[in-house]
This record gives sequence, structure tokens and C-alpha cells, in this order.
Amino acid sequence: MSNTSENPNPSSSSAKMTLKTSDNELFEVEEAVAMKFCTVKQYFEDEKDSDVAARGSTTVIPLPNVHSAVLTMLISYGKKLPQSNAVADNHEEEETKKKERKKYEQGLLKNLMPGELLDLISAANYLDFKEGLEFFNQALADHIQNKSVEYVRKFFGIKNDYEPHEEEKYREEYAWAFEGIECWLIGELKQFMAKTKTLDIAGTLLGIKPALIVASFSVRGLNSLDSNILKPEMIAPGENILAAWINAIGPTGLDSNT
Amino acid sequence: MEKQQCLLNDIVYDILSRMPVKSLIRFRCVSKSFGSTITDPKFIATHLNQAISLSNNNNSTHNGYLLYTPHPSSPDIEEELHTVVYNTDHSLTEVSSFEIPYVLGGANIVAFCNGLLCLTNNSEKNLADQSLYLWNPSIKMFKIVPTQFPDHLSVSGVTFGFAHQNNDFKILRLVCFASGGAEAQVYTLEYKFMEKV
Repeated sequence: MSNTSENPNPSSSSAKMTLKTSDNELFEVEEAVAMKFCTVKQYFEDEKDSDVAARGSTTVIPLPNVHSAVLTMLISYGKKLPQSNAVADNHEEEETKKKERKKYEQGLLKNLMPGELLDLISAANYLDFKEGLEFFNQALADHIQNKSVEYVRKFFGIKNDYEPHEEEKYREEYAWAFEGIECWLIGELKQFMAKTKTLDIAGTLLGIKPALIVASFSVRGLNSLDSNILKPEMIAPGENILAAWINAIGPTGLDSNT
Repeated sequence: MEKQQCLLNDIVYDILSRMPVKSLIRFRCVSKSFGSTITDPKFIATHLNQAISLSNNNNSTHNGYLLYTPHPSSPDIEEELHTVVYNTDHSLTEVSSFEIPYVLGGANIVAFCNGLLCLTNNSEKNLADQSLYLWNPSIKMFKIVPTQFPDHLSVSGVTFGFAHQNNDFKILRLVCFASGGAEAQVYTLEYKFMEKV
């Protein structure tokens, strides 16, 4: 599989290690990158000391608390860090690398869901990956700092144990701290858009007067792409609702929808 | 689950230490536990150190400045304090700005330490109107330092700093008596009175 044979020169780029995740996926990682995960480094060094006979054979390092999706991201972040064994660059090269790294970091954060950040932080904590922990903690702090109190409670699953009048008093006294923050509803919508939800069927209700009318601009008939669909699966009252749509065509029929 | 909760607490602690003061004030009411963490002196020290190291990383040339815009002639215009960064292209970028509370208007800034400003309006001719203030612009709170002004006293110097041993702030004031002689007075925040040194 991979060669984790005892390498007298650990800075050689050909040395690789195998890491096994909680979902039994195997990752071949360059030693220089894997060593940034201090937990791995410790395990590797313990293995080296404990069993002389095991040297030369493939060592798979188990990471039962890390999922493959999370490890992929951590490894890719680790690769972008300045390697401790790299030849010292001159100032210009260093600046270029720094800029590249910043661009990479911004791209990485753009595609991350806030919930994933928590998973990344937990994994980086378990792996004792200091640079990763610093980066993702800062990213989460930046994400949270302008959010409302309700958002923070929801995000961390914290129960509010203040009495309503206590909270009201506090909010009045420090009103300036509550200005200019993102409304929690917008935050909720953003998160909701990325998740799927399950519906409980309440049953058929009879005798509602007046009977509800479908708005003239709403779909109520045959689906243009699939004529097997005779009517909408789900319909709800209201206007200007943020709704789901099939992947093939977005609500505006344009090539891109945000 | 217990371990998970521990980990979550650690994460929350780290993240809170990276937040601006306005967010921290707001998040005090997330829960009682948040409130007590944020007001804990150890956390405050961690938060300060984090802020200092973050600013050192970003601004290795220490080019931050404090700008004071006074309008002594026009009491209607609010006085403001701005923190700015002087960029390499000779431009200024404003980081934050604070309105100076009305009470402190006209006072002179004497010293600055760990985000707190010490002000005094020694220019007042009437001794009884002279006072000393401590102002924290980030949380928009200030405190009047109780000072005694026996007759025939003039203040020659005031300075202010943070004493790590007691985790407390101290103000040092040098006073001269009209009758001759001088003494130094120290005021500690914790004990709230001036004592002769």
C-alpha cells in the first residue's frame, strides 16, 4: 500500500503515512503534512519506540474521531501551510506564497457551512493540529461576532436561563451593543436553505370556510418537464415565499440562481 | 456527551476571546454561563492578550494612532476619538471611533493603558471643579475618581497604569502644596480611595 518504512531523513518528501478515519477510509499523507497533526506525530513516535519488529511494515494510524470529509479538508489546509522542511524562500517568494495562502483560505471559508466549522474545530482539536485550530477558531469567531444572541444560542444549543425581565433590562441598558447586527431570521433562513427538513403529515382537514384558493401565479397543474407529475406535491398559503424548486430549472429560468 | 460538552465549552471560550468588545457585551445575555465567563477577570486578561497578539501579527510596524477631535468653542459638535492605522501609502484607515461623553468634554487625556483612558480637567480654576476620570470607550462607561482637594493644592502630574501583581489599575498623582512640600498619591480601582505614598 504505502511505504511508512523507517526513513532516516524524515524531511524527505517521499515518506508517506496512512491514516484511517472513523468511516474506515484510508488516506495516504506525506509525512511532513501528517506531522503537523501532533496526535499523529505522537502515535508515530510511540510506535517507533514500542515495536522494533514492526518497522518496515505498513503502519496504519487510526483516527476513530475524525470523519473522512473532515480529514480531507484538514489535510488540504495542512498542505498549504509553510512546510518546516522547506528551503528558506527569499522575501518575494514568501510574500507571493502568503498571498496565495490568503486567497486559498478565503475560498475555503466561502464554501463552508457554519456547522461544518464546528466539526473541523473538533477534529483539529483531537488531532492537536495547532495551525488548523487557530485558523478555524478565528473563522468561527469572525462568523459569529455580528450575529444575534438568538443565533448564538441556536448555534451552540444553549438554553437561555435568564428571566425575561432580566434580559429585557440588560438589553435596554446596553442597547448600543445590540445595534447593527444581522437579524436572526436572515441567519436562520441562510442555514435553512442549506438543510433538508422532514414534514409530518397532519392529515386531511374538512369543512374549512372559505375554501382556500390557489393564487393565479402559482403552479397548480402539469409539470412541464415530467408529465407524470399531475399536480404539486405540496402547496402552502402566502405570497413572496422562499420555496424549493427542482434542480433542472430554477425559479427565474436563468443560468444561475443565487 | 460529557466530553463533548467540555470540548464545546473550550471552543466557546476560545472564540469569545477573539471577539470585539461590542459582541461580548451583547453575548453576555446568551446565558448566565456566558455572562459569568465574559465578566471573569481571567477571561478579560486572556481577551486582552489575544487582542494584543492579533494586532501584533497584523500590524508589525505598530502604526496605530489615536486621534482626538476637540471642539472647545462649539459645544454642539460632539467631540470624538478615533483609532486609525497609518498605511504605507501615507493614508489613514479608521479602525473605530468613539463619542466622548458630555461630562468628559473639555477634559484632557492624561494616560492610556489596556484600552482605558485617564482624563483630567485640571484647567478649571475652581479647585472643586477639578476631577479625574477613567473612561473605557469600548464599553462606553466611565468612572469619576473620588479625589480629595484640601485647600492650597495644585496638581503637577498624573499618570496611570496596570499592576499585574494585583490585577488592578493604579493612578499616581503628584501634588504640591501652596505652603510648600509635595506628595504622591495612589488610587487603586479596587480600593477606591487615594492614599499617600
